[in-house]
Amino acid sequence: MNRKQKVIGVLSLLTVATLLTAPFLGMENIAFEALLHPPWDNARYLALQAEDGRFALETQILWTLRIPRVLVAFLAGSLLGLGGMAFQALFRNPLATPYTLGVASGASLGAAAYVSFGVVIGFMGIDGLPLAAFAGALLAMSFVYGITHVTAERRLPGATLLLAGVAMSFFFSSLILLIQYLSDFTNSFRILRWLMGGLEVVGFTQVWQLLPFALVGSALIFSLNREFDLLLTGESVAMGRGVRVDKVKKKVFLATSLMIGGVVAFCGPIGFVGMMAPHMCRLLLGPGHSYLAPATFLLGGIFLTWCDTLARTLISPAEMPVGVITALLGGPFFLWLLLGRTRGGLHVQ
Amino acid sequence: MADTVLSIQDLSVRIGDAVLLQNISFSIRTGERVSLIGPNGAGKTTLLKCLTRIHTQYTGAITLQGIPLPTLKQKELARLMSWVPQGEGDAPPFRVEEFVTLGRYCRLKPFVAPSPEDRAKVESALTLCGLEEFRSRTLATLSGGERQKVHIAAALAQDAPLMLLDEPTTFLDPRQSMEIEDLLFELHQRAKRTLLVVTHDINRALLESDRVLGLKQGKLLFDLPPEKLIEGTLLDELFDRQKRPFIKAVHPGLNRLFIVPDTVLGNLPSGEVGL
Repeated sequence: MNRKQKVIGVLSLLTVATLLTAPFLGMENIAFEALLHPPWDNARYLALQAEDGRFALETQILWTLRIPRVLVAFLAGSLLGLGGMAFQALFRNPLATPYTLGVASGASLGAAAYVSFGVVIGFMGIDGLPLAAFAGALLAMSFVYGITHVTAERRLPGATLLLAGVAMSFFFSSLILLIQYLSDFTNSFRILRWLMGGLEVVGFTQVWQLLPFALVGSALIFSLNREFDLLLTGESVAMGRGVRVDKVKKKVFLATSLMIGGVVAFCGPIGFVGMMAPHMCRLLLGPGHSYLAPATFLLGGIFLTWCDTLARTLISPAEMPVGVITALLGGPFFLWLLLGRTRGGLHVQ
Repeated sequence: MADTVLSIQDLSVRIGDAVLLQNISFSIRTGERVSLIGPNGAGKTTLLKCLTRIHTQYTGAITLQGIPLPTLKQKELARLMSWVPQGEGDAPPFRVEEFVTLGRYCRLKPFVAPSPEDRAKVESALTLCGLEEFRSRTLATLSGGERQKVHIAAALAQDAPLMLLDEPTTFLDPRQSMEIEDLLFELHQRAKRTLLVVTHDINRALLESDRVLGLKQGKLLFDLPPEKLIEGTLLDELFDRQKRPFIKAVHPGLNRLFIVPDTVLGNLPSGEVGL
């Protein structure tokens, strides 16, 4: 086993450990045994309640609140990480992520509009909210696509793209503010709370709702490992080696819109995971995406799961928005990336 | 013709009113080394962009081994033609061996790891370019000349019948540029590669090419073997030196032409000078 395989191995073990411990930690630490008593069977549950009421409650908390929440947190972190990795490779810039380029804001706008206008639609059993977020992400993505064309044509430096992303974020944010302002008090508060990023998951519905976005999006990203490697050598070189750069771009934009749309709809625009997870993996593994992609998937998941565990334990019985924690960690990290040309391979152009 | 690698027929490129290329026709046969020379702005880069399909708005026909360029899939194109870009910009974050292995992309099946044959091609490319000892270094730690060799090695690993090189020595100091020239000589003479080299080094073009193409203001001024350029004033015309023409000399050993700008030997009579 070489070093890279070891890193993947360690991350896999950490993933298992995370998924096995995080659900049991919280305001009330739950006994491990609760795992053996899923409260689905009403008769058994009633029997358990008669026997030990407190324990029965714990199984209820574990199975309807903690486990789904940890699963959503893990998936969301994984998808944010993958989306960041894909953008960093595509734009050859460690600061280019769906969050920094305004795609997450676009998704938020879609979701906020959906919440506020209160139209309830669905498609093939998928809730309208993630679809609205997906539409918003696609809208933002088409702007990013347009901007990359302009920057390529006029040979503008990489920083232009980032600044354009910042401008777009502001633009979408102000639209969200407008929607919020026009909403009634309840919706306004819902939007505000949700913009802070949080994982108030109840039951497995959200897990199943997020899954199709996660599966399609991450499968697309995982299928592009070689193309990402080649894109790091420059677009024209990649073309010369046989990569259909435009097709790859479209696939990435579609996959990222799906992943970010899904995550934003259920967890709000959680920042910085998409930038930190892939970059840390790059420091460990180097630039090759055949290892980087699975590592980023795992580390992103682990990272967000623990951030969320902190969020619901630090000031318990109250909860912090998880976005606050990732941003508190991510802000300094962003500055560190921006100011230091790091040895991870990618650097700011 | 079976042994024609590249054929260009009546290629023209117009952007708005500007004519960047006008009715260019030439072909390259297997095993040839052809140099493309000409002043800046003559259309050399545009021609390369058409060949690499970065530029697709042109009239005329380009075929690679008889297959029209637009009908090729990107991977098929890469299997027929590799190109070495001008050494510029940031170094990709890879190690030398990783980077050269990426050259095999067009030969790999999706999701299948490189085969022993792929590894062997990468090895021979590294050996041919003298890069064995650099294999674990990252590109960022290499000099410009070494990096250029890595680019050439990656193009070699691509194993295409035709290799395009875009000013391979432009950003290099004389020693490194000579090393690259030596490598190209090896590729052509020993490894029997077919090369189309865009270059500003007229003497190298004259000494080592089978044919020299002269491009001026979007038109092909000449397509001649170097020895034919000894007569007439085509070279002078290409670079607008009619008033003070190049001094042409014949290399005694190679029996090949080379030129000296008249500013060096200002008062000598122009024309053929024996050494």
